[in-house]
Amino acid sequence: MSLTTSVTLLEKIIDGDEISWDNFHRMYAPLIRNCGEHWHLTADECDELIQEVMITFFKDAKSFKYDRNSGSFRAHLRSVARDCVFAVLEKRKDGGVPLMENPALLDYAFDEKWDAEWYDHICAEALDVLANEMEKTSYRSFYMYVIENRPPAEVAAELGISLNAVYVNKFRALEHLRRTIRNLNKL
Amino acid sequence: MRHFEEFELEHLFNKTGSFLLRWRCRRHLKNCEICRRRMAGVMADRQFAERLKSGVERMRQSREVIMGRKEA
Repeated sequence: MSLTTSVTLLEKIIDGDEISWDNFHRMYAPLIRNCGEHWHLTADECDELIQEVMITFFKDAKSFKYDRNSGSFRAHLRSVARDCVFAVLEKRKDGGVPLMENPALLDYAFDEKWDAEWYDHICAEALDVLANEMEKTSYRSFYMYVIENRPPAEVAAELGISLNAVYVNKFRALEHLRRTIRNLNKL
Repeated sequence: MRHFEEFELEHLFNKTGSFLLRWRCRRHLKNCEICRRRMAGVMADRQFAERLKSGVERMRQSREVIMGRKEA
């Protein structure tokens, strides 16, 4: 099934590769924005949040290199996002959404929401890897049946494959995705 | 009697495949622990697929909003 091995952006970051602003933004801006939405940031505030997180990583440079001695990138990104979210909230003149008085509870609430968003993010990354590694028709059959929710008979007819093949592709793809998600979660 | 593969059990959810296959699957599942566990795996796969789908859709919508605001 696999002809090439894709490396996710997360794996490149962990390996200490130079990461461009565009690649980082493309991959992590949705995650950061969703995190901001959980805290009821407006659209403008979400833009500001993304910008602040990006600047924290890139400063004035066009690329950044992650220092592995800093620990888990996921935890580091979470920590930066948390600080930026709370900074944006504190800027509001009217006080905005009342924050909890207990900082420990605040951190816990943030981390819980962040973990859910992070999982969604690595699902999307895992799907990108699958798209690159799986044979094209097999991937399309999986995507049409599982992600687009199309009737399997319709998928089989459109792609010129058997119904059994649609189902086999589904199980192979899910197995591949689970493996990729498990590996990304360890980073 | 032989055991059934995951892709054969999937026919039960969509009422696809032959009536005979589905009947044999259902009858076999009543007495076979291996296939019942396999069926539980198929159901877990379906739940995983739903979670995956909602996560991917959420990211896609967010990307669209970001692109839309960038262009605006």
